[in-house]
Amino acid sequence: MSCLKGCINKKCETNKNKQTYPEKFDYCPKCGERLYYVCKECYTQLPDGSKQYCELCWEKKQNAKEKAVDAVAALVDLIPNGGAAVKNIADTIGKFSNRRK
Amino acid sequence: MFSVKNVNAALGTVLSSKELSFTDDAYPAALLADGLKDILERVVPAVVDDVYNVLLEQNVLPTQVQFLLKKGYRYVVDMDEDTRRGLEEGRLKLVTEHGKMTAQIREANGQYGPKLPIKKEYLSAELNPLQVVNILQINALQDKLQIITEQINMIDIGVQRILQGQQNDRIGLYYSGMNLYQESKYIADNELKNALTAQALRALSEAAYQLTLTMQSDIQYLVDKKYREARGNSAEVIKERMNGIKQSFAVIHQAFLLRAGIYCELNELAAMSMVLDGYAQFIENTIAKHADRLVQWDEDDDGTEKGFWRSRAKLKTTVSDLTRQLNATDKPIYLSIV
Ligand SMILES: [Zn+2]
Ligand SMILES: [Zn+2]
Repeated sequence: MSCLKGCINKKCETNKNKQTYPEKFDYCPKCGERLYYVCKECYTQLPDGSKQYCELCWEKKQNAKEKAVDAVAALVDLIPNGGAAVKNIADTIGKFSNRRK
Repeated sequence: MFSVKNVNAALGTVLSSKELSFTDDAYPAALLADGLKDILERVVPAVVDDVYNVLLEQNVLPTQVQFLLKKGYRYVVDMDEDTRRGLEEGRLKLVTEHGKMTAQIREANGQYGPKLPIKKEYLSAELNPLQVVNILQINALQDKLQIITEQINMIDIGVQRILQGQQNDRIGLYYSGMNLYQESKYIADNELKNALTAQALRALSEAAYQLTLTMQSDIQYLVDKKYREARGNSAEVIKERMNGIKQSFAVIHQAFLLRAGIYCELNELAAMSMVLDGYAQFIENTIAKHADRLVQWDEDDDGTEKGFWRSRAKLKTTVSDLTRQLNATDKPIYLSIV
């Protein structure tokens, strides 16, 4: 997935609405100011277009996935003998969560 | 051009330290601002006087030039950045040729550079060319003092917000220095007073040093992504570390400013600018270097140039030049009129 840009002009409406634009946009269609890469989640200005999320938002997303995986793993422990299928699902989610978008 | 009025306006945004208690968060910045004001009002004119006296002693004020002054002109040198730097370093010579006056800067190799035209402006008060040169030099000093003051004030606003926010468990080191300084104020005996002040300065220096190490290790922890070990909770761990980093920064700022302010008060200007240099270096090495990431770990930062970290990373002081000029009083600043 590609990175997003945003308008950092505090007076601009698109800034207030945290509106994002595709990478190919260089200037804000509303106010004309230069657009910068921003975090898809919190709109923090990012130094370059290498990531979609800022480090903190990325971690928050990781944490949500990790918690989900752990919850499923706890379920596996609760179900006697029948946990194999559920464990499979947990492993799949686990693999997914380790992969960076 | 900058005027004393401009600088006073910039300094005026800070309360005088006399109106504040020692424990007030705004005290260090206020003490330093008072000191800088004092440099402008007392020390800079003294430097200029010294230069003037040296020139009088050397009898380098030709009558012809003196005659010109009586007409009430003001002379302004047209100059670019390089020339300006030369001037700030005190390597300027005024030359009269065919009745026209030009200024020349002495280059590093001892040779004089190209002649620069001097514009003539009418003035109500009488000014001599030497005073003109001095005015230009004072302007250069004021220029620097203003930049330094503005940058420090700007940082100080953010710092005070952090200090007011919550209990700071790192401020103890700073308080130990501040308390010694406060005590020294109530001591009549000069020797004891000096000893206490020296201890206060040492404690403040130690506080800044220790907390810089703490702050650097906290930043390194985040750079190395050690928080990943806290499975499912890493975002919270980042926030806690960032909070610690901000607390350290606020105390480091206070310790540097109070130390610079004390030196200023003692009229130890070289030491003061060394402290400010040290602060600028700290900003450069610890904050500017990591600004790209600090903005991403800090929930309250929007990552823009105006945000907390990036705006702080910009502090670049020209204090070392200032040091040299303020210390030039015992060795005459190179200035002559031929
Ligand atoms: Zn805009
Ligand atoms: Zn974000």
